Amino acid sequence: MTNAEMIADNPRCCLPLLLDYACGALDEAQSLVIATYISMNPSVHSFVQVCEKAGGDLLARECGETTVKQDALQAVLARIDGKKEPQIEKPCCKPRTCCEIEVPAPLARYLAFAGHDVPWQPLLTGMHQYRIPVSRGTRSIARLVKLAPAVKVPAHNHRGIEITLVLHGSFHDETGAYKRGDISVADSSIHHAPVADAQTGCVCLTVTDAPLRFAGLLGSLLNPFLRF
Amino acid sequence: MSAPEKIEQDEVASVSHEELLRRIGQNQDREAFIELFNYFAPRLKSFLLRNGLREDRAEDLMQDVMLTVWNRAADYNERLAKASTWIFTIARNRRIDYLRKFSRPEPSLEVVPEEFLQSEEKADPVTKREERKTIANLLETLSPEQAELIRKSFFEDKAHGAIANEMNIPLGTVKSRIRLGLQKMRDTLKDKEAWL
Repeated sequence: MTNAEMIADNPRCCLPLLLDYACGALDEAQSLVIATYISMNPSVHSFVQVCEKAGGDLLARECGETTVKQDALQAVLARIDGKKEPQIEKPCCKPRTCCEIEVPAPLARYLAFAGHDVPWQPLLTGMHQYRIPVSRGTRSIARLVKLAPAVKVPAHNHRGIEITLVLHGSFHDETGAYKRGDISVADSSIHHAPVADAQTGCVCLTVTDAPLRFAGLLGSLLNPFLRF
Repeated sequence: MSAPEKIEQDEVASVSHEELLRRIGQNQDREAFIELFNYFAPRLKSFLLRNGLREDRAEDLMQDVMLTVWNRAADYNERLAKASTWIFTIARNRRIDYLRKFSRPEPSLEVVPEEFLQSEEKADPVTKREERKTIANLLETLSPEQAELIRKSFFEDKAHGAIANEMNIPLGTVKSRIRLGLQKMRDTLKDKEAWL
């Protein structure tokens, strides 16, 4: 079984998210985690390419020909001949090492700190987070989350969708074990309490489109304040 | 229209879009651009209208996309994508810039795995045209339910969760249809060895 087939066979697989990414339907934070995931797993890229090819087929073969403005071609040719318009350049970023973690290029672009260390903020015992700045109006929130060795995240479920990509170390929960480059997609059907590896701890890129719901007495205390 | 003219037109049409892009990229060939424009501009506008853009916005964005096609044609790699696929991705990214005001995070693939590259042998134009005939439209290989979901994703610019809500289909069903659909399309391409 190839790596790509294993990914497709996972019941919690992320193929629907890859389709959303290829269509351009994800917000910035979600696009960031998927682009980083693909960078770490080149075989996943073939699924995105399949989607893009389907998009190209739809464009070429299923889009009726709408009338364009009569002078549309002339207008574009005039712009070609005119002054070079400033091109929207993608900020180019190389992969880099950040707190001894290799960060793939798409994420590195978002981690341009003045210093070299992530400005971690304490969350709970053994848990730190850094909220990654994204454009205003982005629905989802992107965070780096650092778990000290053997730390257990309080049990929770999800109102929306939680995408977790492991950047360093590993964690396990009721659904399996996840190491560097693995992605966990949890929606409202998943109730879990992730535990970081006892030796390495774990650093993840986590994207949520709605606050988590923590369970139990601890949860009733955490939910109003943590807004995780 | 007389018969010889008709034949001549067909010959012109047989220059592939990939070849047109190559001519634009290498020689700034305006005739090639005009031909590509005449084919794609009305389709791009129609695509953008189906994405919910207003008429004037769709027109502006279409012109931006075509200008970007001209400016970036030198970067186009025939071994990596069909012309329609490449133009689709430009339109998608411009629409994200425009509607959502962010620059789409793109994966970095330092080494492009060989499986994504069209081999030189397959790059033979005749073979390629044959392959294109056998699977002109990838979506035709899918069940109607699978194809409907994928069409909706592209044309309505909605993530799978929103589609499940709107169609009142359980999220799990939507996910498994998409999963099976993508696997099917990937297998089809693998069999035909026709990524392009």
